[in-house]
Amino acid sequence: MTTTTDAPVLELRDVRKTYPGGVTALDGVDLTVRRGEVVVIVGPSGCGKSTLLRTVNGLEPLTGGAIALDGSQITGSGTRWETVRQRVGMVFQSYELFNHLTVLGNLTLAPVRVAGTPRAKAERRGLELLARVGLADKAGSYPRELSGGQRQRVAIVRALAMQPEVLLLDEITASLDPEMVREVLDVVVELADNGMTMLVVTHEMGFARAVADRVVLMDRGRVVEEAEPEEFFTNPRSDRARAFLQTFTYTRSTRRAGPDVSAEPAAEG
Amino acid sequence: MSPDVLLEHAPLFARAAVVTVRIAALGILGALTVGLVCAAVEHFRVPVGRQAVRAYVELARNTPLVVQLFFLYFALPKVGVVWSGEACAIIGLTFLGGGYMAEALRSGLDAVDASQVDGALSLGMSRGAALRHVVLPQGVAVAVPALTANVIFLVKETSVVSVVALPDLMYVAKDIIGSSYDTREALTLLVVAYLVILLPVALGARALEGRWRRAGLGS
Amino acid sequence: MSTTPGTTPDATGEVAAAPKRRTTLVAAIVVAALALAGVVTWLAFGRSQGAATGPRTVAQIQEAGKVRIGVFSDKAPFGSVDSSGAYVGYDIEYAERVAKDLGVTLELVPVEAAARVEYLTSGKVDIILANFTVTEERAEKVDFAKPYLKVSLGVVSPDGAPITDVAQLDGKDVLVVRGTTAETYLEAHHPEVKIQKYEQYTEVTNALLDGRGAAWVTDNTEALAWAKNNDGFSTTIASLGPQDSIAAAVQKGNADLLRWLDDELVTLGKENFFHAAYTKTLEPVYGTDVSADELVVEGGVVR
Repeated sequence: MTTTTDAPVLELRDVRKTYPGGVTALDGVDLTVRRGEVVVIVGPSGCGKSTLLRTVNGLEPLTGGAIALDGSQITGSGTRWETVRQRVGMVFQSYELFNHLTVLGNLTLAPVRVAGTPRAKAERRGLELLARVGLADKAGSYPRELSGGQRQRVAIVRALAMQPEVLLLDEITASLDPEMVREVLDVVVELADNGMTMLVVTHEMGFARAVADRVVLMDRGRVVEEAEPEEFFTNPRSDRARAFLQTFTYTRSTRRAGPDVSAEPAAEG
Repeated sequence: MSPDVLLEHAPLFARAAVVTVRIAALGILGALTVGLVCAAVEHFRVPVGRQAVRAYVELARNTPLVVQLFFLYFALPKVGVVWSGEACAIIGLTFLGGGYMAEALRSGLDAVDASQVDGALSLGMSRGAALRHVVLPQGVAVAVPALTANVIFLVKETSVVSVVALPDLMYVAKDIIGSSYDTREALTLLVVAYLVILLPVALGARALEGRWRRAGLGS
Repeated sequence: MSTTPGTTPDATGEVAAAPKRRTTLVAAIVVAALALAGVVTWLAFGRSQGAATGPRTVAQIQEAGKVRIGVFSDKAPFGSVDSSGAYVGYDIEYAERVAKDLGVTLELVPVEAAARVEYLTSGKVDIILANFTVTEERAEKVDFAKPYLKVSLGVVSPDGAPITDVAQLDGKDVLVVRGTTAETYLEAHHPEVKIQKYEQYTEVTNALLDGRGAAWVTDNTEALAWAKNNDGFSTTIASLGPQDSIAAAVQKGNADLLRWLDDELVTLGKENFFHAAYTKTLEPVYGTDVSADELVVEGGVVR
């Protein structure tokens, strides 16, 4: 059971993003995330969910609306995004680990260079984080030597090394082989249980259902439905939500009678 | 081929080798600096700068060093600019080499996924820090084979600086051939001298590439 | 860096080592290539030390119908190319007469000072008529005919800083063309001078004009000619070092051609050929500064 307070950590008001060519990715999005909450954003491809995530840490500048972090606006003209990003971490679909550094090097680069943490302390913290996800023995390895699931777990703890208040997770299992999805999502569930505020974009519905405090459905740049997970998945209110969930359900109208599986297998040569 | 003659002329070659190495080293340093600036301008698509760099790279890579040296040493004085032979050699190597280094470094930088910068930025790094700590190290690693080839090429190119009366290895070889007619010995010493200079460079580069192989960079 | 199924590295992260066989093959190819290069180089240089092409006798030249004579293309008034691309000069007059009297066509081959010996020893030319000063060292490598010009060294310096005594060159930069008697003389007698060597006459004169050296040391005949044509410079020392002579040279051991040339000189002497050549090519340059007899050698006998 996650603990949340009522204080909003993130407030998105009428967020808009239109590209110079005229394409509108975000068409007025309102969203509030409270401390300790896990908000999962789902939606069909092209609905703007990744773009929305990237506006929160400034990788996509807004063309309209505003975002506030902990009560203060972060999308004004004077924003120092470097400072904001130390409080809002992000994990990417393609991990974006630094290939020329070891795992430990990846974890300590930003704390040392950006936060000014002494190297010894940063390394200690890095090893603790690696131990938390069971990768302490990989500290000296290079990203290339790890499996996809291991790399993504390193990416997550790399973001955690900066001790962010909010974590943005952008389709972090989309590039993984199915058997590695589990190990990564286990980490996310553990983070949720420990009170990390997270904004998650995913298309793993089982995962969304398990970890979300709230599910948000987006379509064509707008929020279409917001609900608690159970409600969303079993009893969606909007047609769009229903249609969306339908894409994950498969039915066959007729089924062939299979071989009689109760009989012993025929002895064959 | 007489070992006595080889030994007799060896000290001259050693002294000339110092000249060759000095000119090559300074020229290569200049070339790397120019190359890095040009590569950055192209990589970041700086307007106007980009076109200027392109023009420079084409000019530098498509004119032989000899021609550039003649221009610097014999043509510039006609408009009042008189530089010493050594200065002309270093400037020529920088100009020529800069074009090659720019290409190598640009390819290296371009080979680094733009999304690596996203990763760096998301951790709170400035664009400058991202360039310095994430993009550049990886870009240079990718560029090392090409950079090494350029270094070796530039060292060999120094063999033409004798046209501006610089006492490098070729100059000394010609001296010995001209005065004592010990052609075989002189040319053997010449080849050996260049090998002595270039083999360590080649081996050092291979060691460097080996170091990065584990991280999967460069190949 | 996304993972594609089937390419994840194994747990140890080891890179598969290159097959040993392939490395050995590459090494073998490299060694073979080097050996081949070495053999070819050896043959090439071995040959040029001896005679790549043997000396051609007069009969052979006449049968071939063409004689190859090496000359300067940038040393007026001895061997240079005029604006229409034709060779002119004192040496050229001699070369043209030789071809005419041999009864063959003339092929003039431009040479650099430092390459004159090499062109003969490798058989690239039959005769060198490139203002070639007779020295003992050179006589060990080539055979000289009798002389046709007297020469010693001269020094050209700017009017603003004239060099009237060789001692003034101490510690200064002096320009010479590589492979000339000036180079040898300075290195032997004035080691305190800093010598800059250039390959060609055009380069050394440009360097002089650009102020890269205190003086240019060369044949006095050359010095006089150039200084006259260039304002701001004069031949400040007209005769440096010993009195030498200039003669045609042939490949060592080419007794037949040598004899023909020496006989030819006697013939030409009877008609005062070289005085006429002087009048045509050198007098316009030197004017009254020098008289023909000071320089010209007629009939191969120095007076």
